[in-house]
Order: sequence, then C-alpha cells, then structure tokens
Amino acid sequence: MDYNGSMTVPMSQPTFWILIALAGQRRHGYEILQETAAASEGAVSLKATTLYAALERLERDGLIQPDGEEIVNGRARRYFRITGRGEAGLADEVAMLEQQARVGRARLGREPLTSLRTGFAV
Amino acid sequence: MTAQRDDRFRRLLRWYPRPWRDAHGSVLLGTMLEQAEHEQREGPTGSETWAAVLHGLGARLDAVFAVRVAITALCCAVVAGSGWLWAATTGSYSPWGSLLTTTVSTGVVPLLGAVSVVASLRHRGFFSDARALALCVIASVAFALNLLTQLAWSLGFDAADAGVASAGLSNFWAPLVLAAWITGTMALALTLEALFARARLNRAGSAVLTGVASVVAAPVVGVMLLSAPTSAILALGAAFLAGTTARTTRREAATPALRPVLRRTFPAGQSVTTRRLIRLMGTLSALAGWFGVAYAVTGSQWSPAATDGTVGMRQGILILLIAGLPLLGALGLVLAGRSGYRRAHVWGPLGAVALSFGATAVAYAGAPDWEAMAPAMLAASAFSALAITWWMAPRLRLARGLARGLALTISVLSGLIYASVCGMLVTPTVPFAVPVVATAIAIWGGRWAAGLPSSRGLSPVVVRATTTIPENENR
Repeated sequence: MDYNGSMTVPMSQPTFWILIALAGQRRHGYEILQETAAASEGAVSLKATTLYAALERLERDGLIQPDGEEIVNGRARRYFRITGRGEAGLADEVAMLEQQARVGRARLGREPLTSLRTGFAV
Repeated sequence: MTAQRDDRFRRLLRWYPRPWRDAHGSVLLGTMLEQAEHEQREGPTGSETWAAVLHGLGARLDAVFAVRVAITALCCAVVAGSGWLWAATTGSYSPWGSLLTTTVSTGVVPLLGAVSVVASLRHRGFFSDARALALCVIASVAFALNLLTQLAWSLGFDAADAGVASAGLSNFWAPLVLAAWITGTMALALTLEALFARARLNRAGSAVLTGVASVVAAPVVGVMLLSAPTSAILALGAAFLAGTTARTTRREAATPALRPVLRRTFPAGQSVTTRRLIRLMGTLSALAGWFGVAYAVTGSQWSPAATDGTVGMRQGILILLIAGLPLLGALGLVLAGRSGYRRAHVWGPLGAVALSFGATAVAYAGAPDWEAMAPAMLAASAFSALAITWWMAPRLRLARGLARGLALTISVLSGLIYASVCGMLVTPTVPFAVPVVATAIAIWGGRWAAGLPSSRGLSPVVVRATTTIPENENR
C-alpha cells in the first residue's frame, strides 16, 4: 500500500529510500535512482518508470515537489526536492524504525537464554 | 546505434496518454537513457518494458477518464431507463428490446460505473496502477458472467413456464453462477485488501476479513446490481466521486487564487432569532407529519372523512405533503447558514422539491386510479429531477470553464436517471420521510444552522484561512 503522508499507512521501501535520497539535497531522476541503490546497498533497485510512478504519487501527496528542469547533452532533467511535510514524514518513519530496532536489540539480548531453557535451540 | 536505442526507449512512451507524455515524457525518456547508458544497454529490459506498460496504462485511468466513463454510464442508464419507461407506459413489449434494455441497464451500466470508481480511487492513491488495471479486467469478466447468469436463469424460467425442457444457455446456469461468484470475489478481495491495508490493520486479520467479506458480499453485490435502479445509483455514485476527484485536483492547483473567493462566500451562520424559527418550523412539521402518518395508517377507523383505508391513506399523504412545506423552509435556512453557495442554489432546488410535493398531492387526489395519477406523478418525478440537477450542478462545479460543462452534464444526466429509472418508484415514498427529517431539524436544526460552515473538499490551508475569520462571530 502506498504511503500518503497521513502517518496511518506504513511507508514502502521505495518511498523511504526516495525520500532519503532527497533529504537535504535536490536531485534529478537518474541521480535519485543511483542514490537509492547506493544508500540501500542494492536492496532497492528501481526502474525509471517505477521511479516516476512513485515520484508522481509523492508529489500528489505533498511530500516532494519539482524544483526546476535543465537540458544536459540534449536530455531533459527534472529536479525534485523534499517538502516540509516529506521531511516530517521521513523523521517519523526513522523514529519508528529506531524504536523497533531498540526493542529488537533488547529482546535479542535476552531471548537466547529463554530459547535454551525451553530446549528450542538444542 | 544511439538513434536506434533512443527509438527503442521512445516507443515505450506510447503506452502513456498524450497529456502525460507532454508533461513528463521527455524527462522519463532522459532518465531511461541515462540508466541504459550507465548499464551499457542498447534497449529496455523485459522488466522495464513491463513496468512502462503498467504505469502507462495505469496513467490512463485518471480523473478525466473516470468522468468520461461515468458520463457514459449515466447516458446508458438514461437510455435504458427511457426504454423501460416507454415500454411500461405504452404497454409495448419486444423480446429483443427487453434483452437490450436488460443488457445495458444491468450489464453495461454497472460495469462502466465500477471502472469509473476504480479510476477515481487510483487517481486518489487508493490503488496502484497494477491493481487498478487488474480490477478493471476482473470486474469486466465478473459483470459479463453476472449478466449471462441472469439471462440463463430467465431463459430457464421461461422454458419451465412453457412446460418445455430447458436448452442452450440456461443449461449452464450453475457453472455461470460459480464463475461469476469466483470472479466477483476476486474483484472485491482486490478492492478490500487495498482499503484494509490503508487502515493499517494486522496483516493476518486483514487477510481473513478480506477473504470472508469478499466471499459473502460477492453474490449479494452481484444480485443487487442486476436491478436497474441499483445499477443507476452506482453510476450516480461513480459520477459524483469522479466529479469530486476532478474538482479536488483542480482546486488543489487553484488554491491560492480561490482562497479569497472562498473566504468571502462562507457565511457566519444564522442569527439566534432565525435558529428559533428553524426549530419552530421543524417542530410544526414534525407534529403535523407524525399526525399524517397516524392518519394514513389508522384514519379509516376513527375519522368520518376517511370512508375506507384507501381514502385514509390518500388523506394522510396529503397531510404529510402539507407538513413538508415548513420543513423545506427550515431546511433552506439551515443550509443557507452552513454552505458557501449562492442562495439561488439552496432555495432553487428546495423550491423544485416543493413543486414535486404539489404535483404528488395532485396525483393523490386521483388515487387509486393509476391512469388518473400517472401524469401528475410524472410531473412530480420531473420536479424532483430538476431539484437533483440544480442541487448537484453548483456543488460539482469544477474550477474552470470546460469542467463546468462536465459538471452540468453529470447533473442533468443524474436528474434524468432519477426521472426515468427511480422517480416513479421513489417519489411516492418521499412524503413518509417528512416527519423523520422534521424531528431531526426540530432537535438539531438550530445547532446545525449556527455551526461552522462545511469544510468538505477544501484543502487544509483553505479551511484554516476561511474558518478562522467567522469563528468568533459564530459563537
């Protein structure tokens, strides 16, 4: 399901990494593709068409906005930047992931003992 | 090689609608070519082509498409309803005419209505491109099977009635029912799963709920949509959804220019004296209305004027219609205090409803002779249609000239549908709603008239800008 900026819908992986790519810097389409692949260490590899479908959705939800166009080597480039709403949504998502990671680490620190007691790991 | 490579990628853009290509085509092409150059490819990969097909076809299911399909559905419903009305009033019957009317009203109309709803919901972000396309295909198959099921049942019924063995399509009734049920379940499951996911339900719970609800609801929805009025109502709902989807899009784009206009058009609510008047009119209408219901049901047992049950019912309905007049006045004052529309767009439709009440009263003067009642009932139905058209047109009105024409088209077609499909059935029951609505107005009407104006459909920025000004004056 697509994230709509309402905080009631989980953010998808492509949405998360696109917003990460745009956080703090405006980028054009191909730069976003490169940045999402690099930042996610290859976990998210978008096609150009998928990227533009996602960008269209994020723009409609007010999380990003176009920020100028230019022609380089005869090819059109459109730049995008994250909006205040997009930054707030991303910050909320990061906070939620951090909380999940904290709980996960705490549980993993204790769980092996429990597993051994119940004989699960034997 | 470079020119050939460019052409291979450029061909992918043909899947997209022209307006999308004009707005985004060169940028998408540039990005695809940069990616291909970096990966040293001479053409699109299979997955890239497939993604372009899905996204391109999905982009065609936008708000404009939803409006066009909804208008087509409304036109079909009007044509089928007019055919049915003509056959009913003239008593003429043709098997092929009947088959055509049934196919259009219970096959084509619900299918177009459903496709329009899917396009609107895709445009609003509820469905992905792939899901919307899959829904259109599966819903088309489901509606076709649903229609064939109905025809098979009808043929089998006629054969049994004539005392002959069933043959042809009627022999496939059971497998058709099963196939329609399965495809209907698939379409509903695809819809509900997307809606439940939006509500952030637990994944397992959502899957169980989706499965159970789809299996149970599919045959219910299928049977309901085999009725012409229900299908027409679906088409009306689809048209309203498509109209508001397009309006939202345009209003978002035009928000800064629209803001001062909206601020000016929102009233500050009704005064204390007017609110008292609203409650008084509602109370009068409620008392007279409940008396009318009691008279219609029991009048023949105690009133010397009601010589039998039919006369008692007729006189009760006349009382209800008279009781409806102060209610319409109270409703007008409430709505004028809450909405930002011109007074003519509030009082005009209510005036048409009053005329419809008058025509209904004239019709019941001739009851129970249907031939004597029919002309006035038709007039009542037409006045109701006028009320619906007038009510919808300014509320669906979009931000620019062309869209205003579309809104008017949808409104006129909606009114015609009411007159041709629903009016003759629904109009006689409307008077019985008078005491219920009047009671609600008597209790809450004053509060509704004083409350903040309705902010539905406006962006948060506009709502903030428009509601902060009159807030203190209202309290």
